[in-house]
Amino acid sequence: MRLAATLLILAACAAAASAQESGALAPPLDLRIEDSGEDNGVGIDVTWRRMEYDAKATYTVLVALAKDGPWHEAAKEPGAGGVKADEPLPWWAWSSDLDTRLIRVTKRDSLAGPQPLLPEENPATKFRAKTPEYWWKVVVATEDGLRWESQPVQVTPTGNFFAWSKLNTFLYMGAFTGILVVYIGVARKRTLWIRRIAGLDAVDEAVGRATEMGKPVYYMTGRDTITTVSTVAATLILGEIAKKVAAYDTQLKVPHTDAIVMAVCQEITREAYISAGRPDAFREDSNFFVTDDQFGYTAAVDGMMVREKPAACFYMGYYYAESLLLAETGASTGAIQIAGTDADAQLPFFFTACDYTLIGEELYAAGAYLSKEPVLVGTLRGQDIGKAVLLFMILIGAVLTTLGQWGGLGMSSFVRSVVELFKAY
Amino acid sequence: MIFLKRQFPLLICFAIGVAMALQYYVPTTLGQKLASQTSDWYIIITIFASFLGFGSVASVHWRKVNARRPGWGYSALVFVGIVLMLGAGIISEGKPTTERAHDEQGTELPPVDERDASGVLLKRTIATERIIPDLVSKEIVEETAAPPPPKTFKVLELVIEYAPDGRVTKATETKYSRSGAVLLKRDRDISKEGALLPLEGEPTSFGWMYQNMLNPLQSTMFAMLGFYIASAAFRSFRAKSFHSGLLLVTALVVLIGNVPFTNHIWSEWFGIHHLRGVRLEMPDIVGWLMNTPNTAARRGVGFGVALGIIATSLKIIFGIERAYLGGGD
Repeated sequence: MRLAATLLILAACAAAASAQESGALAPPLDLRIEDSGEDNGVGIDVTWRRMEYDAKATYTVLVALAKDGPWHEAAKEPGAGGVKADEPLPWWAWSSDLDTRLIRVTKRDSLAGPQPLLPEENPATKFRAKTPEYWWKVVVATEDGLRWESQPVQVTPTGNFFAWSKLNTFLYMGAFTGILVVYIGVARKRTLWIRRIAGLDAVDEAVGRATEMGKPVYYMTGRDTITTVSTVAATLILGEIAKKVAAYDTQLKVPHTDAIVMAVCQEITREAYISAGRPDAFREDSNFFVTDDQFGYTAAVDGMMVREKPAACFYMGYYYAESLLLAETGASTGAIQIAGTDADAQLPFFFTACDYTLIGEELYAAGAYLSKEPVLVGTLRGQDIGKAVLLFMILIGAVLTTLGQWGGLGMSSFVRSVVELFKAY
Repeated sequence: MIFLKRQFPLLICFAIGVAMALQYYVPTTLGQKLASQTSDWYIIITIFASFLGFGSVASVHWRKVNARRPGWGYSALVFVGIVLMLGAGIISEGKPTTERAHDEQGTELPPVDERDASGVLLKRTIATERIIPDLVSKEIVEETAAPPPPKTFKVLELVIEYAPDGRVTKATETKYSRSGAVLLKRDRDISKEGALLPLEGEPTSFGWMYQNMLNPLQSTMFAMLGFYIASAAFRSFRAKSFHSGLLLVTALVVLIGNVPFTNHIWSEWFGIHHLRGVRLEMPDIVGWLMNTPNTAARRGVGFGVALGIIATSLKIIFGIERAYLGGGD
């Protein structure tokens, strides 16, 4: 489609020759007007080979709804403007060329004409009118009064169904999914060894201590909403801890700052008590909403901790400035504290105030680690393999970048191409 | 029933999960629309879920008040707070300040001046008008070729009166309802700074409570963080081993390096500016520590987190992890 929409305007040499004689400019070489790739149908690209007169020329892109006009100015740029290589796109999606000039008409409202490039959505029906046919032409004018005008061509911007610049991340995601699927299959056949995580091994100790002391276990799911994956991970860990709490017949308290997370956690806790064979011990109010205000929540939970002196506190999920306020208060009550977060800025605070801290990906591994379910353990192994591959790539990248920086080997462009493979666009 | 409780949510999760993952790769309007619409759905669900939250808070505190458990008075105060804040919010239409001259839909009309025969300014009237929203939406639906000018109503009016020598003698502010009735009319204190600014917003009762009650409470909690950091730092920086000693030294360099006076001592008193041709001011050392070893460690954590997020998302999308539905299989 894109190729079909592309029109190469090579003004006939004979016409050019006669134009020169009459004081007109030579036509720009390889002038193309084509639909922009990787957009939602709002842009066109005008490209041409660098011309000698570009430094003193101005290129004007005109648009019309009919071949005969009326014409409206869509863009006006100096000839010595941007080149194709300026576009931050990778080599497999874009031919970066220092000698090819580029004017990209992208903004919907860049036209001075009566109709925008893309018809506006009808607010009543939520549908757009059919995109009309657009006609384009390019006018080149130099400071010394010479002028050249292309023939009108019809190019209608269309939306693209795949962003080719993102192909690399798409393939990586596919490869990672493949690794996970393979290791899930392996885990179904044989038991996989996974490294020990001290913080999770201490869960039994923490819940046992709470039972002995007759004090509650506090579990916090972080400050983020259910749309955050770390919060989902925190709710999954809650299920495993709630099973242990139910088995030990200890009291569980889960103060919430988000009502949806609370609703999810209520169900998870209920099922955990049922699967532990203690549905009678489940209390609906073990999960309760406090407030969605950051420091209101912190003050309330701190107050409860000081009054009730819990035996164990779990801080899982994503935290902000309240992390230290909560963890220090918990530490002052003498509770065993286990934290797990992917908020790297809060990790030092949890390290300081908690007995055990799950760092980054350990939070996501915790649910599988505690449940010991083969399928979930398989995904853990898959994650580790993915990490090993990443480490290998980092090593290769570091070597290549060093060589590229050195420059003596003439590998700069090769290194740039390799680096582009690992960039997200 | 099992289908509705287990398979159906898994199907929804799979379909939405795959669609949301793919929309990242599809640059058409369809992809963008899918992303924005699903976030709209989430907002709607959140609004309904807030009733759940309110129910939970009310139930916890009501039980406490009902059973006269220790501290039940504080729980009663929760209800007083809810009623007060909710009432103020409803009365103020959820706005923290009164109408402003230059808000989203309000238009400030050009001032209307009254002058005497010799041209001396006696009175200036500045008014703000607001478009009646109902009429606007109706016009859009009808899509008339040449829509009539939108109907408006006067929201606020400020009348400034001048003495012949140019002094301001009086400034009167009037607030109107949509039907044109005068809701509030009062004289401004012209000795105050900004008294002649056209119709600047003032805190509503809701805004006042937010600014003067909630904000100070939040700030108090946040301020306590400073003390907690000091106590945590004291525990962390005890040099009991080589590693903790290294942490102590690094932390001291970063702490001290962020004090301007240290930089002055470093460069002026010690006269250190360069080392073997490399710039070596105090901020450079701090910058290197923060940007190089610190960033390397954070990126290491970041890689693991990214893989963990992808793995967890895939587990949920493909129904491998289903505990969030309420338990195992």
